[in-house]
Amino acid sequence: MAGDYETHAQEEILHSDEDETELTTPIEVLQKLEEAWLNEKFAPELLPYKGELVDCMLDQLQHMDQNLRRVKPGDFRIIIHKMELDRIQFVLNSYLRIRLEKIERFGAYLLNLEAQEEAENIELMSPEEKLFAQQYVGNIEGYLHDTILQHMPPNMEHFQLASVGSKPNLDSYVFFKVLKDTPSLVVEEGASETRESDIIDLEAGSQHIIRYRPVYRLLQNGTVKLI
Amino acid sequence: MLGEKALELIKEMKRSQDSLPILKEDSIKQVLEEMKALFEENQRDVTASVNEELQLHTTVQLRHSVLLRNKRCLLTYLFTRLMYLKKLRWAFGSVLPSDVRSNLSESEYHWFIAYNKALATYMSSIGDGMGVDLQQHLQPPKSFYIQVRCLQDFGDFETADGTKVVLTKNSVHLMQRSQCEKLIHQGILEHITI
Repeated sequence: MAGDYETHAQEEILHSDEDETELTTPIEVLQKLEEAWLNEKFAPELLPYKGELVDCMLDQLQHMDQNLRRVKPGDFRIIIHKMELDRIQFVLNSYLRIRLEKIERFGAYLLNLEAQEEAENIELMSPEEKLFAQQYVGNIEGYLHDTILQHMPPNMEHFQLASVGSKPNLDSYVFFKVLKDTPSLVVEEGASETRESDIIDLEAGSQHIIRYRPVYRLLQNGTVKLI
Repeated sequence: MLGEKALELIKEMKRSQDSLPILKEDSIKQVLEEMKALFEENQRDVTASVNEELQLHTTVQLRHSVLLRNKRCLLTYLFTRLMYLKKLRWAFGSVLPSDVRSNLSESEYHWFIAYNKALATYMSSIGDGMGVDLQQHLQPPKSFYIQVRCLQDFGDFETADGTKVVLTKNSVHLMQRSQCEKLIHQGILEHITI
């Protein structure tokens, strides 16, 4: 379904960009955004925020909307263009919503991670998202403390969401498609005692189903995309 | 029986997964009282067992496990309610249906307001302050116009291009999807598939 929809959207934007001056960039941005959206959708953990894409697409949407206002009402093309705008807006919103959901689910864990790994400088969340995560976790902890924890015996009244909060399961399986040739990827299979190492070659264009852990680095440098 | 009240809360939570019954403040209070009693007994026995009365240790451990379990049950009970409330926020928007509102405790409602606020701050800050309403475009669009039936008298509704539509009960309209998505979520309009 998603694939079907994707090709539609691409065709549409090719079509709708005919009266615009920049021909290539908006399409590329949209393709990248769609890739980021699908990656985010299927990855078990939170991926780095693609802020540039989002900002650029928002600008583009506004721009296209203004263009549309200049077309005289009643022109049948308006409907096609507006439909396209709606589609892009859906992809964009869905992308942000999926991220927000992950931030809520793993909020405490993510904030902990961020506090620990300052040196490595991994920016998974945008400043706005970080603020939201802090408020979200703070609100829940505050609520639980005010309602019951403060009434508990002194040795029970401590509780931190991070200590019980869920972590992303990096061992879940994902489908992905290879974009660039990658020889000899080491894959470990089986339980930790009977773990066997396997080396596989990834050919560009091939599709695999595999645990998330071995491929997440490839995902981050754009060698593979999740489908 | 030890820990019975806490289990009751969890059972009730499990039974009512698709609704939000009234918060059982009395039960919570009882669990907390049980915890307090257990804690005091434990303290007494620990002081006593300093003088080598080793057989008390088993009882102390049992009580401690019950304490931990009660704490866990209470937290789960309250936390699950919050998560359900969050789900409602996405379904109905920032205004809760009145039957849900009346089942909430005061502090739960405060949490809900705070969640709304955090969400609104976030949504308005996306894209350098341009703001995106993430509650819109929840479904992938299939067609630009959709047919909707009005479920209640709503009155005049002005669309973005300035045309006015009178929404009366049982009237059917062909409207832009983006315009009426919110109304559908509020239960004023119903999407009819053709």
